[in-house]
Amino acid sequence: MEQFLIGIKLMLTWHNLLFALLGVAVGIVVGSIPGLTVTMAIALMVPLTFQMDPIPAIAMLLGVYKGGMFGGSISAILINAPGTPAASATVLDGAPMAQKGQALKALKMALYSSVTADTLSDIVLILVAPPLARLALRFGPPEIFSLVVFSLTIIAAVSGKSLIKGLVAATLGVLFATVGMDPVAGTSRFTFGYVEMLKGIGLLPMLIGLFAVSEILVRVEAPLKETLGKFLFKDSDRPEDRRVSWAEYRRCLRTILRGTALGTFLGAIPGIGSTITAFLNYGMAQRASKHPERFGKGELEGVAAAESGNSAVCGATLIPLLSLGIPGDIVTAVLLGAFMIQGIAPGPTMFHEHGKVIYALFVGLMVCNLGNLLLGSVSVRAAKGVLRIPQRVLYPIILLLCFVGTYAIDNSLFDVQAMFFFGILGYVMRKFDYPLAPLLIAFVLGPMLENSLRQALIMSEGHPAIFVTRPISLGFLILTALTIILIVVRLIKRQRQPQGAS
Amino acid sequence: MRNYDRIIAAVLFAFSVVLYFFIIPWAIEGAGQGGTGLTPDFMPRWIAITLGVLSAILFIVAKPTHQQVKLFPQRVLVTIALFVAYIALAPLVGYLISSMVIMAAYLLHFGVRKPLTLAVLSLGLPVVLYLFFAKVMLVVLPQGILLQ
Repeated sequence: MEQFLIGIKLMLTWHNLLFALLGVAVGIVVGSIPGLTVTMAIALMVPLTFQMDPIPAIAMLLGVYKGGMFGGSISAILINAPGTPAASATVLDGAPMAQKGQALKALKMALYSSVTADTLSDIVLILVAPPLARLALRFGPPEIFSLVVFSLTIIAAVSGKSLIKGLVAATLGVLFATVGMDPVAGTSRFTFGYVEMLKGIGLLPMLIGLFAVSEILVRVEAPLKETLGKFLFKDSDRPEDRRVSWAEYRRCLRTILRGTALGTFLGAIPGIGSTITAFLNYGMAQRASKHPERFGKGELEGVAAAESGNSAVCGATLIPLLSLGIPGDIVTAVLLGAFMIQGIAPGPTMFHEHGKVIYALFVGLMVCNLGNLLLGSVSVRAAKGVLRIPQRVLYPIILLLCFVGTYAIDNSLFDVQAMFFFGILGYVMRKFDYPLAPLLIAFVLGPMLENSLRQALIMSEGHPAIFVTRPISLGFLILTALTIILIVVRLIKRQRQPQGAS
Repeated sequence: MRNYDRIIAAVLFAFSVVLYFFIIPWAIEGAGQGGTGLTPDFMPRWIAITLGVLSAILFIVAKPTHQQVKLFPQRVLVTIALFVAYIALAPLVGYLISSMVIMAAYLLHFGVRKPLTLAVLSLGLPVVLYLFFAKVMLVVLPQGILLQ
């Protein structure tokens, strides 16, 4: 509690608040643009945080994350196209509501349910992360190795259509992580004579390449549109179409709370993202509703279900990052990189060494939620303006930002070359349905995987049995095996069924 | 009907074999020396084996699809070529000029034809970015060796 008060004091300065709000505003606007993902926004914002102190830097990035989550729903509602994948479920009822003249009502419901779910999820994070970190402090190298293997398997399994492609992507990620100086022997690996490669492949060049450049390359394949989106909504003058009444909020509260529980629980498991959660909660809300037939035709509760489901993930996804040092999705992988740049290694020891920073961040999360609520309605107007920008103008701007943003990390053109290499790799992987998230997360976890494996083998003098004789490690390995068996069994079942039955 | 997955699996399998037998011994300093789990090539070898096994499984289970995947259509190729030119040009003529040239080229390539839009964006954006990164963030942007 005392630390919490110190955290409040650390976070609540005008300077920090300004950066947090700036982050939220950028997130909302970028999130509202179809094709520009939250990840892209964060990737391009990280280079700007290098010279900042840890607290405003991380607060700003969290702001982008949270703002982006809401921003995605703006275009979902106004132009019938989700600004981010996570807002796909919001389209189902948000767009029909906008066509009925209830655009503002839908937006406000999206905002309120987002902020409610997000805030509750953050509270769970604050309660759960510290004890979990204390437990994780007792993990030795074998436990850490098995935990990373388990996390990577889940991420590979849920991020794409095919488990095997996800695993291939993850393996490539670990391979890229071995480039550079060997952590134990200090010799060079896969540097091919380039001095620049000794320090390894940078996380940010890889990130910007995989998630910004490759996105643009895929996008320019299709004919470019004059504007980012056409407004399909009608604006009604009736006041009840422009606001959410307390009674309506109360009616949806059950759905919002269900979304919060679902999102928080699933968000804490590495790999399960907000898109899945939004659809799951939407389905559950429809089944629980007295009027399931209204869903998909502009039901307020549908918007609440989707938005609470996807936003509740935001807080919970930080649980494995802060307490175990394991990023569960791309955004947390980037945050991990941002922490590292600031000289802070997320994980169980962080609560000891940087306790104040963590509690300041907890306060920062709340500030960002408030910021969302404050800026949400203003940003809708800004986003409307942004959506008028033609694609053919927006894409060159982003490509120039990718160049200068990557260069700025280390004043290095080599990084820009690496970034572009990953842009092309990402493009090819997207074309053949290989998920990018496992590659990035495996790349981030690669050193942890290798170090724990080697340390464990040194402990056991080379006997691999150490991984199955220690109970926690064995537990994680059994869970890994169960995950794979479950997926393979489901796959075989699906193949036996006649086509079209899936 | 083409079986893209099988082709890629074959490529990945070949890569893992080359990685294990040629690249690892050649590109890892101290490969093959030392004791239990300590050698620098220990992890890369396991990665190569994992990749080999995974691509073999993918090869077996891969199914042909009706979808045609067209890699690198012309507009993507030009987009890539312009970026490569950007990387090559920046150290020669400096950040500002290379950015202006490439921005204009991108806008034209994507079909912007209005002279005012072209001028404002390709001259203005690099200047704004330059001022922000060079003067506020204090990044040493490429100066250009030809112009000094």
